[in-house]
Amino acid sequence: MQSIVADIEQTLEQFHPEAHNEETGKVMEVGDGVARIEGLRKIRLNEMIDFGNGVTGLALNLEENSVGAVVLSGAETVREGQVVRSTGRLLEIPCGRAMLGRVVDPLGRPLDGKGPIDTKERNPVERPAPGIIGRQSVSAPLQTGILAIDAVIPIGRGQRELIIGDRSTGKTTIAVDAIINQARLNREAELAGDTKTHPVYSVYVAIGQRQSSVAQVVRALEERGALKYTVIVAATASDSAAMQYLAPFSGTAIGEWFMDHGMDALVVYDDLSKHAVAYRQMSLVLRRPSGREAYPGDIFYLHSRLLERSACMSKAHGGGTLTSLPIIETQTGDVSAYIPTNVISITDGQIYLESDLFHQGIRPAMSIGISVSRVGSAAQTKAMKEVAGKVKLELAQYYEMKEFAQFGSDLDAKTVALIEHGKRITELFKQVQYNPFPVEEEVVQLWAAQQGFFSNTPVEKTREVRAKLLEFVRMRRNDLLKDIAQHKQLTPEIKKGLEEVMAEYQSLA
Amino acid sequence: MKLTRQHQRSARLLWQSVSVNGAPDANRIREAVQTIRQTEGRSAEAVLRCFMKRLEIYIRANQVGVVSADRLSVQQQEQLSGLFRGTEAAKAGINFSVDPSVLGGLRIEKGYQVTDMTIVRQLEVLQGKLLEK
Repeated sequence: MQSIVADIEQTLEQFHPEAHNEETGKVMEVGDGVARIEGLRKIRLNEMIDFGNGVTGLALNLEENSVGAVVLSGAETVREGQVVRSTGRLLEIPCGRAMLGRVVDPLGRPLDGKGPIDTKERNPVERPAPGIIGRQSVSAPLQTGILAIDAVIPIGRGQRELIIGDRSTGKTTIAVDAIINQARLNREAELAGDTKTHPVYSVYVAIGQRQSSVAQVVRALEERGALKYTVIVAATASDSAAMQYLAPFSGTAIGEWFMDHGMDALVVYDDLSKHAVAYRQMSLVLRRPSGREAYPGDIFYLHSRLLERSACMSKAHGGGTLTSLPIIETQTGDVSAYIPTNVISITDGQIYLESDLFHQGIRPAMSIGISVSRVGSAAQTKAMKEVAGKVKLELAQYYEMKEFAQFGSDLDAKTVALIEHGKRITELFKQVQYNPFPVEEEVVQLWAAQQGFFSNTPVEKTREVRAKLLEFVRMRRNDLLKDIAQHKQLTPEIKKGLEEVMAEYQSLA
Repeated sequence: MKLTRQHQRSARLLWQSVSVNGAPDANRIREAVQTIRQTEGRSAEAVLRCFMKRLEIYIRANQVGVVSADRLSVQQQEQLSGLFRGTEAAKAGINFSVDPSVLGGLRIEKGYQVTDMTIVRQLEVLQGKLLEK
């Protein structure tokens, strides 16, 4: 109480009344969350407008005689003829470690009922992407804990990897799994007192999602201890189009704080299709000219300037990284639609999820043939490269042969072996949600598959045997797992150890 | 009547032709309006409407208003009017008004440019600073 009084006294002492020169404007019309304002001659693009009573807006259309602004919240309180003020400030959002574990709206206001956020750090919501000089190539892996991704479509820190697929194909699950795995790695490093490991902090941006879906994600992260390493920015379906438009930019600004301070961050945009729809709605009510599918002409620039802010900075520029996992929802598998093709061309690869695979029980329902990672392989560890190098080719051959085998029963031994091996790899790639694997266990199971360990196992029992094998290795030779994690490659000693432990398991089984 | 971009462009050209040193000249405006009125058709009417809108915005942007909590004396009003001598605002006259909610001090509005020296504004700024803390 005394400190509050002291604060008030100090503020009063430092306060010197002075004339305030302000630029004002008058609301000429308001509707659909957009206000047309006369005046505000010197306002800048993306400058905040004070509508009074805590209502703020954002100047988006600067015309000859008027300004088009979106009202960010409380649009119903804005009246025609109301006087508004320019603030001289661009839109900013609170940032920093204090944001971790919190659920906020795109303006950084807490939504979780945990009280105010104690931070003085702020970042502008719109900011130019880092330049060419400050960047370096992606070199460190971002382990998602999902075997199929880490082996075949590896993601590097600083990469932008699109997750694309129809509704209910497990897009959000992949992103949430990746967040949970980062939290697991952070926690293990903290417990081990490992200061060399760079923790990855995550930002999950929900755009136009149902409130119940966001609540589910929050609960899933909380239950697995991942929320304390994560910030959730939520602009749900009940929020205005302006808030949905701002959400990914706000999430990026929060992620950039970690990157600017030499740390690693992961941002999930769930999803950019709804973001594009929100931007289209906003642009139409702002009376901007519309183009293909009624989207405004700068819809490509909207997403390119957002995703270009993800980067892997060089050591001289702090060495921080910002990895993006944008999500796009397709309609009946049409990846050639306007927004999907835009985002595919912007990102460094895509994970394509198929409904058919999902319904066949292959989860994650990743289509190996269409999915690609353009830069991630450079970030893969040597151990993973060695065991996963041939997997993509083998799976491609398996899918081709599988189709071919449907027409005839007489197959040569080599083809049969290839098909059987493909079946087992496909089984190994099936993974329960919210249950990511440590990278060393991923290496062990792929190594075992390459050595033909699962050849005699019935296909339907592959996952069961895998679980038993991993448990056995953890119990008997945990040192091998530690060595793989530490050396990041399969040395002759590790290989020998793995052979021994496999032989021991087989003799006991 | 729908005002198209073409009408707005024509009105802008008309505005430029009646302006002298950035300010519209009354005689030129009269002449221009007379000439356009002689031209029959809906297009001329639309251009005049656009032109009128520009003129209204210009007048609003140059109007000067002084707001105080209590009525200013004639001497005080003359003193304030002196500040705007020779400007566009002086021609239109200064609008003095009373608004008790400002509590004290003056607010001078020239179009949308506001110089606020009222007590209520100082208190708002103080409130903002305290909330920031």
